[in-house]
Amino acid sequence: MGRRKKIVQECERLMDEPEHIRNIAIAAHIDHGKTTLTDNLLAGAGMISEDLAGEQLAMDTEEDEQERGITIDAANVSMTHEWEDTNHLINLIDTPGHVDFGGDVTRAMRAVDGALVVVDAVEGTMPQTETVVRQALREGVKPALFINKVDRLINELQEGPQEMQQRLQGVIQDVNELIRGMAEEKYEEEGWRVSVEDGTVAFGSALYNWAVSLPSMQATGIDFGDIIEYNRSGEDGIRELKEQSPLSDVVLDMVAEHFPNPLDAQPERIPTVWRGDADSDIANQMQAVDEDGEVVFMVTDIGMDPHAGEIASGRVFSGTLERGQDLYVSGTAGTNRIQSVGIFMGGEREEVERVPAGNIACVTGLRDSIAGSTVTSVEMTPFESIEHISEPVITKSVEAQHMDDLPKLIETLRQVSKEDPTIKIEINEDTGEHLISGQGELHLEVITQRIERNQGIPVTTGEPIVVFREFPRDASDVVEGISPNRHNRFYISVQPLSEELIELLKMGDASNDMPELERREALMEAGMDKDTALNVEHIHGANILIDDTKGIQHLNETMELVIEGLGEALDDGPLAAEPVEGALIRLHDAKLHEDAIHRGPAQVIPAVREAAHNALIDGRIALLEPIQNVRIDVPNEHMGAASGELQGRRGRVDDMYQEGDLMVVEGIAPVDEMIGFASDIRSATEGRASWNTENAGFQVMADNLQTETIMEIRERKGMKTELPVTVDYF
Amino acid sequence: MDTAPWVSLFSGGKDSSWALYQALENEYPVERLVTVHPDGDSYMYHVPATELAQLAARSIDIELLAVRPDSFETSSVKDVSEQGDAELIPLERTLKELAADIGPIGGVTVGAVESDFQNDRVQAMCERLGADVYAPLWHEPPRELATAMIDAGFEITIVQVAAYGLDESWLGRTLDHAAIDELVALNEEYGVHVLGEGGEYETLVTDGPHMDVPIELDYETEFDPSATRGRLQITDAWLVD
Repeated sequence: MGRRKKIVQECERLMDEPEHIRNIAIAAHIDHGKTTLTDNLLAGAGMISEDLAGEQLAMDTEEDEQERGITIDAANVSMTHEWEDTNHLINLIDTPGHVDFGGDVTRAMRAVDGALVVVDAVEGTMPQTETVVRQALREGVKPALFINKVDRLINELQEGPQEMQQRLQGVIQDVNELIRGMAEEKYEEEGWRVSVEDGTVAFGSALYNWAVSLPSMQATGIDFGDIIEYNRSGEDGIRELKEQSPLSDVVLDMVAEHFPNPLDAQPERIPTVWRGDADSDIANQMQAVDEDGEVVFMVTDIGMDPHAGEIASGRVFSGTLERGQDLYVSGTAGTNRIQSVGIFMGGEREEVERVPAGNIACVTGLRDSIAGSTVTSVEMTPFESIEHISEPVITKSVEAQHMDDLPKLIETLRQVSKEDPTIKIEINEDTGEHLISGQGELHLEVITQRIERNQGIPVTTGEPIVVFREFPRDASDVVEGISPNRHNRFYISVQPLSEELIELLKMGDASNDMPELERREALMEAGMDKDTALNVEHIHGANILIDDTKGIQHLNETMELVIEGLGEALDDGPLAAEPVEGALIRLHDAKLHEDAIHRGPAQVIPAVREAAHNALIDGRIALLEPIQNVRIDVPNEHMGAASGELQGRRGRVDDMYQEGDLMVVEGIAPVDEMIGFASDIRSATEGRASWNTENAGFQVMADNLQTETIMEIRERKGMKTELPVTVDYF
Repeated sequence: MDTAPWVSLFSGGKDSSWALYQALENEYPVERLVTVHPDGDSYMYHVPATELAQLAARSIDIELLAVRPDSFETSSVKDVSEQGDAELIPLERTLKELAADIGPIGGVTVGAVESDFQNDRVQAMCERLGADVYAPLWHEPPRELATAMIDAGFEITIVQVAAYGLDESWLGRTLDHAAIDELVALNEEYGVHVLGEGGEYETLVTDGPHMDVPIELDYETEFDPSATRGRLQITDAWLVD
């Protein structure tokens, strides 16, 4: 029997012992080495050859990931590890480090109970580290810390034990600040604070395959002085260190000891990630990790296999997945039949007979599922929509070069949006010019390259276009909207929502599918007054419809059309048909024809749409543009050029400081101006700058640019290049 | 058959024309066409082109009685139902005067298809007058009705639009089979009634088997996209000799 097969068998055995399972994710800033870490953990567990580890990047399964040296899709692996004489099954989800792919990180966090935070010892915590740790804590995932690239402190920076420890303490402190900020109670009372003393911090070098932690140092007797010694005595020293204190043992021991098993984790995590009835049977089964209960499988990722087709992977919270089961997929009608059940080993999928509760599984046959679906044996409340901090900010048109490829391209685009819900696709079968929207220039570039290479469809892409928003700045007067047949009238006003309420809506913490009482409480907590909160009728994106009318005949049956008309008004705002956000819309009064045939959709929708647009215009609606936090690390002599690049892009430099031998420039700039930044900063700094961006929401565009930008968008969309008459404040 | 005289509620549009045509085909003794010219927005009667009804009546060769709206003060009435009732008063009075003149009215033809609002009120009025109601379109399938009109030789021009999905290109358009197909699609998409029963569009019948000569029109179109509404501004109309 092959070694690999033995491991698969051992995995299958351990699947039934939830107390010996750990479901974890590795989360880190780009280039902080988590893919190398993963590979060496796999090698240590005997999953891949040690010679190949570090080179192979087993988890970077997509060709373009290996080319770019960055990880794009969250991929899963399972491995076994012996801790305290008992074998443990460790299910690991890799997460992308580049912020453009933040949606994948959030999804991965849903499926795991522990997050191994990886930080580069030289660079320290970075903006992306913060984002990822926040995402983990938001989902109730317990953190532990691995400080990587410690060898660089010794070899490159020539630091002594004292300096090293100071630096490492600094990193630990930064991570703890983050944890305390996001989860103070757990930090203070439940040991979520990471510390060397508790053994929740390890140091090492993923590349050279060694690590230490306090427990390992106590066991091996190796201290910091020894580590420095070993590192300074060339290859032999490093080999010795690797043998004395191998990375995988130290890190996986920490994982096994400090991360909760599903039996401990699920009772606490189910209420965090699931909003259904806490006293129901299914809630009890999920909390109990009941493998004989109803099947509850949360899909966190959809991948493509050239032979097997779509593969849905995710966490089994209850029941047992088996081939032939007919399961419900949230948000779709009917059931899908499971074709096969398996686990991931590196880039490869191993089919197994069954995967019980508490495990990470991958299955085929769930053709209706997307990343984020809840898949169940009985219909139930789905897991709340997975929260994204990141909304699409950039759009590109994609066209097939050959007409023959058109159907295949459409299919591929649909597929892409299933695999990655942070990608939004707009199919236009009439013009053949489809739109894809995503998290950044690179995100879209990667997607289009995949279409070209994996599917072999040559495509032409347009220039990237930034996604704007429209936002009312003031409260409007009450505006009348009249139906085309003049038999129905609606009286509507708008006012801007507070930042806090907008944030609440964007996070999905107040949504249409929530129980009314719970939603009302969330809204009031975010500052909405009680009378308004009582009249909430509908939520559309980051906008709310308030129904202040009382007892108007036929309004109930017409409300659906009012909502539809409002939806159209908000999806295509009055300025440039960009989405409206942050509007509180009040319906004050309505006059309706008593005969239903005179108040159908063709009458109500345009009346409401027009009223909403006029109210928004009266509320001094303005264009918002997406902005990014930008951090540039650059040698001193190029600092002027680097900050100049930022300032020349309507950007703002907020901070400049020395870190190690580099200068750090931090600031913000509009996404629109950041297009093409990669090549510009490269040439301005002779390729010496490394940089990082992070989407930082939307802000009102400067008044002097509004009209010009609105006209540009209107022209691009083939709209009339004149503003609605009442817009005259620019 | 009772020979008491019938009247036809007649706007010149396709539905009332079809009711009239069916009545004539079935040999109802229709002796008067009655047209109500409302002020401003009407909740019950077709607003545009009612002046043209006079021309149509000449072509049909039945005398037309025009009810002038000076006696109903719709502008002061806010409620939709009250306005509908208010509009009925002068019509009912006119029919009573007519009965005094030509004898008790046997019945009334009406082009209602699905509007309970319109139908209920006419039914009630006729009950008070002791007249029958002939509503051959009532609850008939709209698409089949439209097809029947076209196949019977009705020449139908769209003179007003007021619905999502009906843009300026519909103004002055002839309602033919292609137009019906598009209306059916708009019905599925936006709930536009295929026959315009919800006020989505208004028509003028310019020719048909019940008319001796066709009506010719000169017109301009006016359309307000923000109100999703437009109509023909008819500058001249005449009967072709």
